[in-house]
Amino acid sequence: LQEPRDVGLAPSTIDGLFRKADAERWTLAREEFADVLNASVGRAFATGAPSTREMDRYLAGLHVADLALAAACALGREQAWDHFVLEHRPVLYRSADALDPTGGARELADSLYADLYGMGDPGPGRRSLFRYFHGRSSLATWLRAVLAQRHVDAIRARRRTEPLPDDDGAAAVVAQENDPDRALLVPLVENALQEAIDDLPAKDRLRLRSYYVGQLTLAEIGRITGEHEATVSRHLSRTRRSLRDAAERRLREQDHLSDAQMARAFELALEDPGGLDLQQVFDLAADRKKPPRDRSNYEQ
Amino acid sequence: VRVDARPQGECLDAETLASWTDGSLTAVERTAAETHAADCDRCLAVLAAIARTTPPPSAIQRHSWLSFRWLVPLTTAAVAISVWVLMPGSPGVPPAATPAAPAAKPAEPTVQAERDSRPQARADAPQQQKRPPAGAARSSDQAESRRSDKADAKESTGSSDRIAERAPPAAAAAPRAELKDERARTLARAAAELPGVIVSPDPAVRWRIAERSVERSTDGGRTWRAQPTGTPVDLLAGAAPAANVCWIVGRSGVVLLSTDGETWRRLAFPDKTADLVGVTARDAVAATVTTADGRKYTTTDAGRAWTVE
Repeated sequence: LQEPRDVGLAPSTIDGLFRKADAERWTLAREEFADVLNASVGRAFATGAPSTREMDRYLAGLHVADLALAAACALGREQAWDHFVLEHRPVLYRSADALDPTGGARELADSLYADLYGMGDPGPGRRSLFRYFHGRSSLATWLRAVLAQRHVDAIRARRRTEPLPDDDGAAAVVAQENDPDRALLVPLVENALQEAIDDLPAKDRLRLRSYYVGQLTLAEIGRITGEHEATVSRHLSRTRRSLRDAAERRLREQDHLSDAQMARAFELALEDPGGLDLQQVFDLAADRKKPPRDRSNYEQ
Repeated sequence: VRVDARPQGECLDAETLASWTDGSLTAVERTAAETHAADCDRCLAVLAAIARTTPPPSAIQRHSWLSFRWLVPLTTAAVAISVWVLMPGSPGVPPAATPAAPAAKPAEPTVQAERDSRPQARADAPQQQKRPPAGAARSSDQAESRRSDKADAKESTGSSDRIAERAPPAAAAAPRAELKDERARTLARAAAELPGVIVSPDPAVRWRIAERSVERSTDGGRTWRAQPTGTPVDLLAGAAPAANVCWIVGRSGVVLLSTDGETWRRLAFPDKTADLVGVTARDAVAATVTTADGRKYTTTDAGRAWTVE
């Protein structure tokens, strides 16, 4: 993380935002509010001095009321905590239940709540997690983001310690490795596809990975990309076509495969789809097998 | 086939993720975040988790409205002209011998809301524990609170899966749906046609861009012929200072120039991450492009050198 810069906001600007945030409601002093405001601006423009327009745009977009509430909570103001508990703890718990309907994420929500209060810091004094909130988003969204991060990290940590499953397919793997066609063709398909994926614009890769690797619904992807799910669906279709075209072009022009070899290569690659299922991506066998689950009205 | 993850830079922090979700990142920050998340398993999983906890969006509907905002003055003008033409005694219409035809009905909304319109589940009752437990111990009233929260969560998270169930009965809705579809198609055609058309000083010669493809017409837009540009990114704006000269800009610092009206070459641009959203051109060598965050770059030697304002 870059160190915040001292940007020295004008007193009149601070006064205006102090009033807009209604910070006195939480018995927050003007100087205390100015500190968090300066910290927020200093962090946002850590790399260079902003233009007046950039600064105005940044300040206009700040969630100053949430910033004041978080600052007051971090300073242990009773009224602010009462309000936070009333308004935001239900949000936190609903999010936890959405992440894990069995209630597993509630533990994380409780520990997050403790860290917000500053109980998780073993050092001297109480250092609240609120110090990482700078008002660029709403407080509710920031809480959901922190909870989501902790949930994902907990799952990833658990997976690392889980034993690998018994390898029942070892015999089949040996048989596959003895297939000369497979040894030659499957790496070619993998390389061609990997190259095509690498060449995609970041947003196309984001949609593709969200859908096929992350298993998100089109609506969920739309919430990430800011698009309607029908738009996401159209982009995915276009990306699939472009991937297949690019992969075929490479196999034909660089690897000099015939049409028959290419068909055989795709067929072999289908047998070990891995993280990105070729069958879904290229729709190679749509008539042979239905998609794994219907994830939207706009499913192709 | 596996997708190798080679993310660029550090993982996105909670503030960036939250700002992304709330739509408050700048265009440059957003592009950088998308580039990282596209290749990062962890950030993708976190984004997915946030998406699962996100209430059905209202931003999409706002966006749909904004995308057709340019139609407002057009529609107003059309209505004004219709009223003027149909007014008895106006110069364009002879006095009516029969009663005037009934006025047209107001337009139906063209975008069907597909998100859950139910209000959010209410916040819990105020009887909550104010301070967190030191450990994981919870009292019985917390357990009760959890059950109540779970019920709320079930309501709110289950709603997005019921989009199909809320569709009106097919038979009753068919004529209206056809009408809506036709209007939506008309609007979509108009929206797709107008903003992407680049008209040269010769009105017969024009280009149009749609995402990544470029087409040229030499008969005033009656027929169009595709022109390969070899560009793998979305193209966003263009300017044609002459009938055979056209500049087109797009995402990821793409600047294309055609000086013969037929072939395109990509010019070097100093910021390869910038989304270029506007261009004005004086001739085949001088142009100014605008980035999504408002910076302006000018060249006077066909892209060999750029100066930033």
